Amino acid sequence: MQNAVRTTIEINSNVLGKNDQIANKIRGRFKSGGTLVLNVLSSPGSGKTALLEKTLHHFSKTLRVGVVVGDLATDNDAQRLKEWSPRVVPITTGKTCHLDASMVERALADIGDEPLDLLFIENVGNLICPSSFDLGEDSRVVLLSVTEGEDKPLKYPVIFRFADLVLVTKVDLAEAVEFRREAALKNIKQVAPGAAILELSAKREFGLKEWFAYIENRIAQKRKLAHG
Amino acid sequence: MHELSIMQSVMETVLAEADANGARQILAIGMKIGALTNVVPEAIEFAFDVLTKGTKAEGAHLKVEYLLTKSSCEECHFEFEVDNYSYLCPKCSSGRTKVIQGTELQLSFLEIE
Repeated sequence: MQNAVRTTIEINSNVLGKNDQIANKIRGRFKSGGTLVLNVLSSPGSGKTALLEKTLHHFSKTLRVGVVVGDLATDNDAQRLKEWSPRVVPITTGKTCHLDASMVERALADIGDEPLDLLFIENVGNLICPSSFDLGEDSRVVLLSVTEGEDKPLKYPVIFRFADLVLVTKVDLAEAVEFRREAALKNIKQVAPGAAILELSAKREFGLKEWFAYIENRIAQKRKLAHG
Repeated sequence: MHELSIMQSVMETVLAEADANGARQILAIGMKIGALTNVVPEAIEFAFDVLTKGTKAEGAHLKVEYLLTKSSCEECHFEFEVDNYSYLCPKCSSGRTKVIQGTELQLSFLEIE
């Protein structure tokens, strides 16, 4: 009988390597055209779609904006957004609790070849799973509505840590829910010290000017990198 | 989260590498898992037990190196273990800190015979 030799094989491969490969393909696609790609994350019901409605409306005459919208069931959000932009593609994930790069890549095949200035990826409402999946975005925008409470960032620190921008939403309801603003800002800065923070209400149209300016600045930056 | 699909992905690579190297049996699988990946140890071990049954890896030892979250301060260059998700530098209180460890989700090595 042959003596079995115990051998160690070094592998050192990233388990999410396939996802990251596709994410980088997406990143490459939007690099040369200077398209800003924003991954929008939050709990269910924080106001992602309402904010995107206002945003698409605002930029409808000045920017070519595309949206990829993820949900487990229904394409309700995509239908709402289609009122403001012809370039909206739903992703109905079925049972999957997050978007991954392969889903986004497939959806992008339906968005058309027209060059975009801005692409929103509205992720599935979930503060846990989406944080693990690179979708090829330039930045992550995480929403926190005042109705969720000021300690939410401490409860879901991982997703907030990787936010480039935190949007505190539904500020018109802050008084009614006794939202402790200073505590919320402190908590966000503790788990995400590098994130910019904006406070707004999509419904009452408070604070939207600053959000639109953020987008315009980021697009300008991306274009400079693409053509500079 | 998603430990089953993570382990499915790992097993695909493991079995392919084992076959490519003419392995008769897989004795151990090594992984590195960072604290920021949301992976639960009991769940990954359960997924491993379930998915190795009936394969060359049945009975293999799963060796996981769990990595703590570490950050580096861009102001004073202090490197620190992140305690309770606070990313402010414990030395100079700066918020300009970068995560340098904790997001790893890696298949490190295979032991075969």
